[in-house]
Amino acid sequence: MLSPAIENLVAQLTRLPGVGTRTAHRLAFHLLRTPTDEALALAAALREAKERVRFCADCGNWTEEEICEICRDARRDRSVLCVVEQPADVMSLERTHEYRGLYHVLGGALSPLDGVDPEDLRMDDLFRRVDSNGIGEVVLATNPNTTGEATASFIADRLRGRVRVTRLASGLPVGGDLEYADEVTLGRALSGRREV
Amino acid sequence: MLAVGSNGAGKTNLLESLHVATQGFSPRTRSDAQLIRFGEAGALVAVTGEHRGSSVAVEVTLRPGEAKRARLNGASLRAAEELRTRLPTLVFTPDRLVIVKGGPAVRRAYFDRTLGRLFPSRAAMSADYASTLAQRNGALRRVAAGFSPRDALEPWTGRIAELGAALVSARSELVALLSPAFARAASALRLEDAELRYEGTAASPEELEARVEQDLARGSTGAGPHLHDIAIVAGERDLRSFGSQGEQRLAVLSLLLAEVDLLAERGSAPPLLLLDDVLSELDPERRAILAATIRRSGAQALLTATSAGALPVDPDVLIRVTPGQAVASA
Repeated sequence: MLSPAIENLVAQLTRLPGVGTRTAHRLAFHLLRTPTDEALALAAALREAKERVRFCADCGNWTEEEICEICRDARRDRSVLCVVEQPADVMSLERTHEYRGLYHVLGGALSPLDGVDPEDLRMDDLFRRVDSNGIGEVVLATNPNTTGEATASFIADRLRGRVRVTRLASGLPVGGDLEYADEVTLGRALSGRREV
Repeated sequence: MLAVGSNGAGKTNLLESLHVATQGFSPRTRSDAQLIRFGEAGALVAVTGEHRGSSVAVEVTLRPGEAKRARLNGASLRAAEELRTRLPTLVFTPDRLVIVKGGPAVRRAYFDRTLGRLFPSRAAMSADYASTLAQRNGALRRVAAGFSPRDALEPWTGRIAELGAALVSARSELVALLSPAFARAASALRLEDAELRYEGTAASPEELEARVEQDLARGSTGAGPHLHDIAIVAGERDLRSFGSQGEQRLAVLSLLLAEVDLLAERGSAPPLLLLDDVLSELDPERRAILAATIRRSGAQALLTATSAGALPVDPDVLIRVTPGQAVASA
């Protein structure tokens, strides 16, 4: 039998995504073995992040200020808005250093089976931004799956005629071999081929 | 190849293990635990052979409570089911008659799998449609119960119309392609004027919109390819409801042979044919025709029977199956 304190720690860790009981036990025992200040540094970091990080009032990305760094950056192109599902998607797109416009984080994708309707996402904020801020193009970068595609088509329908709406292309991973591409991706790439 | 043995000797078992080794799953059951011999800790199927001129070695390992593991030429696959996209296998077992005499859902599933085998890039179409449909039905129930506003339905209506139209056109194309080959195969087996017809048309966004009240009331979508069927007829007689057991068997065999034909036409390697207990129900003339058709197709086939005399021609390999053992002789 474990002490109640350890049981509680394990229970808390098990709530994290991808952590099962066994991993939770391993992590808990590891934390108990590490020096007190190191273990408490984790607790402090957790507290600090929870207290300081919030959603950007403009785009919905994580930030420690009222408005996030990207939205405040005067060098960014304010006429293009890229719509993504999660803050993590912003990070992915930023890593490309290709996109210089602004973002809009929805906070998820439409999924009635999980009880997610348009009003549960930051849709109204999006339409308000498009109407008021001189935006010329909206890039839909939701995931290419069932819920992401439906979310993209919902937004596209609402914005049709108001602004230019584009969707991320889907196709082959760069640097990969055709030989190893799955048939569905390859088929999609083939039907979306372009003139060179 | 002909596998012979008395009832309960393990002929079907041999055939099933070949299916597991080439497709990653059993044609009989979805429960992998059932594939492990009673009282044993696990099961292993290993086959070696040749595919498109190069040698292949497959190993599928099963342990209760664990995910199946499959290795193709030594390399682990992400999922054992991935084998089906690498090694084509078509199977006939007596319970496959449901393709003809069962409900529309069985036929839709069968033809959607055929679609994936003939056009691998379209393999996911029916699953994509189904998951989008499930979301729309979820939205219908939420709207009906007052949890969601009416406009929550819109994107899903648009998406199922789009994906549904694509699926209907892919299935129609498949049926149009398969029907002549099916008629040829059936005619060779003396089932004349056989034909496949796709029953159903895609629902446009307007049609779906028009029946939204009905859909809300029943909590599900009442139009679209998830309700369509494929008619299997012979001389204007619908074999689904009016075919004899024998005709239904010939129709299933003809579907299988039609697919072999199409795969060859499209330049794919001939599939492995696993035909369980097909001979006992055929008259001697049709047995000879079936044997000749398989020979001509160039596909490797394993048939099972209780006696070697069931096949009117000499098989290339005769496998004698006794409980726990299978001995081949050329």
